Amino acid sequence: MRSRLRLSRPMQWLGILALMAGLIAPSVAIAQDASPSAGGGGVLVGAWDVGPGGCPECPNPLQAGAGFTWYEKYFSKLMLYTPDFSSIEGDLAESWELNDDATQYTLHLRDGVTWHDGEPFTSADVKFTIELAANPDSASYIGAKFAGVSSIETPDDLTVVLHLDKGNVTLLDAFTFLVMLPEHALKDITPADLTTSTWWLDNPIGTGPFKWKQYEPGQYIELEAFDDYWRGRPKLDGIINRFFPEAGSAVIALQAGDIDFTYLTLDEANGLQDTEGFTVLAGPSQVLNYLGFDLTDPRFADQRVRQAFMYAIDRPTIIEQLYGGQATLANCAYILPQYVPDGLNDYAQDVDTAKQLLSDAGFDASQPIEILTYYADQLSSDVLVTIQQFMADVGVTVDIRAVDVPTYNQVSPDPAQWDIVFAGAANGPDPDVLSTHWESIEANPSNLNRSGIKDADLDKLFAEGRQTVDPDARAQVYQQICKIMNDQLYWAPLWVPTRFGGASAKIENFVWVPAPGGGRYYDQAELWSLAS
Amino acid sequence: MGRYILRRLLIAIPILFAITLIVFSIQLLSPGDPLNAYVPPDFPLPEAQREALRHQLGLDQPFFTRYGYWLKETLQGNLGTSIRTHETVVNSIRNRAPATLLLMGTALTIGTALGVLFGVVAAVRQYSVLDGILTVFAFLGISTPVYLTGLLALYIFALRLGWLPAGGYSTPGQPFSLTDRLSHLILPAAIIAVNYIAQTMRYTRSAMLEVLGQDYVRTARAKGLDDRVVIARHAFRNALLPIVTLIGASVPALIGGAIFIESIFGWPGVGRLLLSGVEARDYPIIIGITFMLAIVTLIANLITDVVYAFVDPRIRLD
Repeated sequence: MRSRLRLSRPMQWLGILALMAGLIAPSVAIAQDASPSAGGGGVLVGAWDVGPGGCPECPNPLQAGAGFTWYEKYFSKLMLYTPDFSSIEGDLAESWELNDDATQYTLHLRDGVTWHDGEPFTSADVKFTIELAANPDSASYIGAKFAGVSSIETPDDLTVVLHLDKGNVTLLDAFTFLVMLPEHALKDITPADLTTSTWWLDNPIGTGPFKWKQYEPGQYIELEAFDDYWRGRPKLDGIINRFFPEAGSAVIALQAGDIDFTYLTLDEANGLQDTEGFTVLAGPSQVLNYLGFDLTDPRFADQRVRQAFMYAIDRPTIIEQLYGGQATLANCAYILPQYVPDGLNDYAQDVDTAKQLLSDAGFDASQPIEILTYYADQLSSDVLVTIQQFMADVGVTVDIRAVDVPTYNQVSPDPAQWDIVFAGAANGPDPDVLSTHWESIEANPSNLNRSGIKDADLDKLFAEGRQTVDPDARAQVYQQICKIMNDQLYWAPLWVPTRFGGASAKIENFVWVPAPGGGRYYDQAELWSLAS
Repeated sequence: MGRYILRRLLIAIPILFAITLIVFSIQLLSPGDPLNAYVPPDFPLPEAQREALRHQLGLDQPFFTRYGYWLKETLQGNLGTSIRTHETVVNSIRNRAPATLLLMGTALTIGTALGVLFGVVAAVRQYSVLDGILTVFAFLGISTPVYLTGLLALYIFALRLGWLPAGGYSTPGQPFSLTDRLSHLILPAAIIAVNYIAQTMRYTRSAMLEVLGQDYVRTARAKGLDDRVVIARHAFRNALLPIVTLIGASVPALIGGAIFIESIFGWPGVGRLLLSGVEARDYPIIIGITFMLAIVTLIANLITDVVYAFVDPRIRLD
């Protein structure tokens, strides 16, 4: 008996630890979770920020590059794309006019829109939001799109007039990025303080279909229906954004019925395709995968070397074998028919031509070439290994260097540290999105033209594209850009992959399509409902 | 004893200081700064915005200015603000600590208790079938990566069988209930526990085997003492030393959490906070958590050393 008592001393120590853990944790948890959700329309739980279109726990939409599907549930924009991204429609703006050279925008706001706290939404809020975002202290690249706005007038509560230094039709596209913010709630916070403010996660006020309810750090954000939403109260009672640090867990949660929506990889989409009770949604990612050459490197300054890469790599086979057909071949950066001219070179695989071009260019094959990428997924690794093989077939040794995004962003502005990048760039919805990668004014190190493209024709055409209001005339401009890119191959265009979402079949009227950064189209969230 | 503890605490001060310097320097060594992490690769942040942000984050200051500022604030209990979520580091850790304590407390308690028990049993019945089974189990437990077991367990218990929720800390939008919390806790805690059982068992088994061969155990047996008394009182007590070391070494994990398991199960703990901090190059978070873990480790080591003296009278601390 005595020996048993003695034994228990270390056990006591353990017991105290366990007791501590047991006591502290639930009591804190009780304080956090005291919010029963109402019945009726139901609460939709989604992994809205899983995948490349999401930005989990990024509180500030002015600084976010992705996550718009979720922001749009509680904030609104002035304009949104249609779900097929063919045109821009009004959201908080009912209509607008541009003058002939796109230097003046007149926006007519919708009447009767209120913020979640009951205040009316007016032209003062629009002026406030644009000026806030454009202020460099907000550190917003969405705001930077408005840098050319020289003055904003608000002749009445529902009219906003913007004056621009230079004509620019792409401001309409920029408006699909910019969430409207309430002047009355934020006017006393300086733009610099707002970037680090907890307002974004405490009780942000928007005009969207749902309003803020609670944020559980590391777990989820819950919104509830906004009764006075201008399109009418949502059918759902609430919507929840659950965070999944490990994307693979989100698919399991979807299949287990714990959540109703998540982003899917190609493999996951194939796995879920024929499962009853689930819908796989698919669409073009609007992201071009490309090989970007370092044009300051004499080897790649030679057009023949760049062409050799295109002739060496059998792109249709990669699309067929690795993507299972779920990608669209791209012969320039654009794939939308209105921007693609006839008569492009399709660079069908031709090993002999590739070898000939390399030898004509005097290419030194003894030095290996490094392809830098931030893609870490299995599919991308498979693709790169295949490209490595294709290049080996023409006598070029390729090394692959996969790094994480922060490292990539540090390395890529310095061309001395890389030869070629394998990367993705949004190629839409507005074709001007590529100007930041291709105009000479955007060249390294501080801007995004990592390849160091300096082509006076491209510069001229992009400027023309921004100032051409008529859509057909504008499309002609981008056809010319497409032709130059197909010919010059500053980037070797590869393909535009398809992206997938998986939804429970219980969601009715659900609209979701992939988009770079997610969202920016009208997804009629107020009509979504859950079948019982 | 009191003097010993005081001396150890005094030695801890320069050690902590050195740790702060090392921890703070990590950011110089890792590729990419918070700005790099913050901007998606195909989004343009113009120079003016970039400069403003750099200034707001204090990244335009020289290293030692930043270090001095950080040290001054840290001494006042302010570990800074997360770059990603804007929450203070102290609050971030405080918000995540209960979840981690619950998960790791449960797992470590079960893991240590069963690990010690199995270890003793395996040693006493060395080379028996039971010892063989437990040893195989221990090797599997130690060598299977937790992210694999984690996904597999989710697949089996949440998806195929539907017995337990597929990750998370609570059912979103539902009021707190104990059964709900426990149903979320079982899987991650069990997986971590299995790992600890395996480790503790291996240590306990070898420590017991060593002690069981000692002269004083043979003497105790020769005296005709009951076998259970010999094992519990004479052998186990002397085998405790390595076990106490192991438990002491696990204490930081009680606070630091389990990075992989917390990520796979979406458990909002400190380990996951650290991982997302690393992904976002959120240095205030990384430095704050590492610093806190350093303190906990120092304290745990001290306590372990003090406990040695209680467990083994041969050890004198003065």
